[in-house]
Amino acid sequence: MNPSMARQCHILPPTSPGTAQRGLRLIASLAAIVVLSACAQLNPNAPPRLDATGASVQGVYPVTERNIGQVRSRAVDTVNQTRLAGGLAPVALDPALIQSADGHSRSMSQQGRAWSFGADGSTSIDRARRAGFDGRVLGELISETYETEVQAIETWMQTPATRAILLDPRARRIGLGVFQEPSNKLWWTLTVAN
Amino acid sequence: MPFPRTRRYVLKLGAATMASLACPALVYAQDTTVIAPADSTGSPSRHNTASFRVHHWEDHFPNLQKGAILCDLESRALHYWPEDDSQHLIFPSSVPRSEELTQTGLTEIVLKRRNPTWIPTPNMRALDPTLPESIGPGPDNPMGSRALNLGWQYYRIHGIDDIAKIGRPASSGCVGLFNDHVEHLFELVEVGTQVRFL
Repeated sequence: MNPSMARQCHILPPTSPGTAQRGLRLIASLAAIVVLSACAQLNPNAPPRLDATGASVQGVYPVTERNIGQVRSRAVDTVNQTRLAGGLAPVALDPALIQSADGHSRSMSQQGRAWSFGADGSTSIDRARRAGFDGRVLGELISETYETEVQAIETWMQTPATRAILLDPRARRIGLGVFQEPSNKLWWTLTVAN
Repeated sequence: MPFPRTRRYVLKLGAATMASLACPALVYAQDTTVIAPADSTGSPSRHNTASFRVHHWEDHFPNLQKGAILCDLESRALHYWPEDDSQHLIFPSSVPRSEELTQTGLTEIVLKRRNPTWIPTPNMRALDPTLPESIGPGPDNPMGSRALNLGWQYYRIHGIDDIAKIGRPASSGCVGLFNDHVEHLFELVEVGTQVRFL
């Protein structure tokens, strides 16, 4: 990366004073991630660039087979920045949890309901076990939205019940699942386990 | 699913007031409409979020005498553990539609009723004087096929007349389950089974 590019990556003017405040108020620690991901846009496999609030600068946010790996990495980095700021141990992505969370995101789209139950009545405990996960599931977070994974995490951080799951001190492994509808609507599932 | 769609439509069309009746309640809250980014109206409806927390009975009950039911109103889920701790059942539930209607704490099952008759509480009647005196057993009964009366007056764990209420803030304080779930639970619990609303 040449110096001018690097500089560009750091220039991320917020779109309005309102969003600027929001970005600041939110998770100051996210800034580093956002800058990194802005740079990551130079990689063809990268997800769309984010602005200072964590929103996609393109408006729509296509999650594809090519960029899903980076989306998940950005999610786990975001979660860990937040956890580390609170003095908590970091978490790592778990393949079995990713598989079960992906399946649940698809199921929610089919059910048309943003909730933690599968069409068969299953919970994240059942789904993780079926996927071969050997640990204990602590909780699961859901968002039906057009927002990015960074915004979804930010939203979960704003409500006590969802924040408590994200900041569970026992958490060591997570799975981020996503299903995108043709309208670009996203169904995020974040399973948190130890 | 316990009911054919047609009944739901009838309820919604003809008897909006009827649907509103119950402990499971007046107008059940719809999920918000998720707004696409192009439509930047500043509406807060940019996401529907939900969460599910895994529970262990030891964190909420001193023992499992006569079994224990935990109603997690935040996760909109009912947990049940029998006295011998041989299983952990989890069912999706409806939850109270407002803070004022929400009771939390420890109580117990005081009465089990099959095919209950539903009678509006004085409070419901005050809110809607057009409510019928009562609704007998049947598909339009807001308490569905089973009711478990709790130690708190008017609070119940019961079945449902409209499956759309499950997983949503739709009740006047009670916890509603799919009828097949409440029928299953009904056979496992007894008067004295511990109940905590969280």
